[in-house]
Amino acid sequence: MATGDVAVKTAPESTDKTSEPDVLDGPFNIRQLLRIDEALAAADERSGLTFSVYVGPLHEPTVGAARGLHDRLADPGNSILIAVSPEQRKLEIVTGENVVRRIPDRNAALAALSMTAAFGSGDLTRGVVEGLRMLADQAAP
Amino acid sequence: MTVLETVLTLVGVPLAVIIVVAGLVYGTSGGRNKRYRPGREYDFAPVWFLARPDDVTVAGAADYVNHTESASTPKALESTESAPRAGVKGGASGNW
Repeated sequence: MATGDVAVKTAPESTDKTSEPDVLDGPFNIRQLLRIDEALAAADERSGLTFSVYVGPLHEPTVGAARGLHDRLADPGNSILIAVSPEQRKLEIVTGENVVRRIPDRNAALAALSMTAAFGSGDLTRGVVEGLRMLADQAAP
Repeated sequence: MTVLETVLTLVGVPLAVIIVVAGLVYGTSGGRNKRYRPGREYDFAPVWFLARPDDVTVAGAADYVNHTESASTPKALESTESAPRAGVKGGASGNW
């Protein structure tokens, strides 16, 4: 399996797995998707953890919503979820049980700060890529 | 050089250049401008990325999206629903 595959997402009305073009309905163009994909693969490889990025609406409270998404990952204990809601201007970073030891909340907050700075200037891609890099650096064994 | 040639050169050429440049500027960005701008309306589909897509159930993500859109169920119920699987989690929040 190529680790480079861009994952899938999900417009409300389409539940089938082959909804490849859906990802283009998101806020990113192809070049930005490739950058994010590359950053995700690099972060996974560097840290040995599973990184995941969600960009879309979160119900209130957003912390609970992001944790709910994190629970849906195959191995939540070793996973990090970055959930961004541009509409609500909220960012949530959720780290699993085993990740907390490598990325203390204080360091996660530092990454969050750098990400929100990029988001505030309207650059979702740069924020996501930068956040992935910072978190992966901190988690690197 | 006749008057006609003079007019064509001094007026026609600049006009042609202006039209070409305007066409390039407005023609290429004519489609939907896919870009998030803070404070503007945001109507993009939710996306969820994983380096290994098999690690998440796609159906689960679709459920979640439908869930947020209906938003009719009480919030308290939603959060207790995911509580049992939640171990110790850490993280950080931010807004902009």
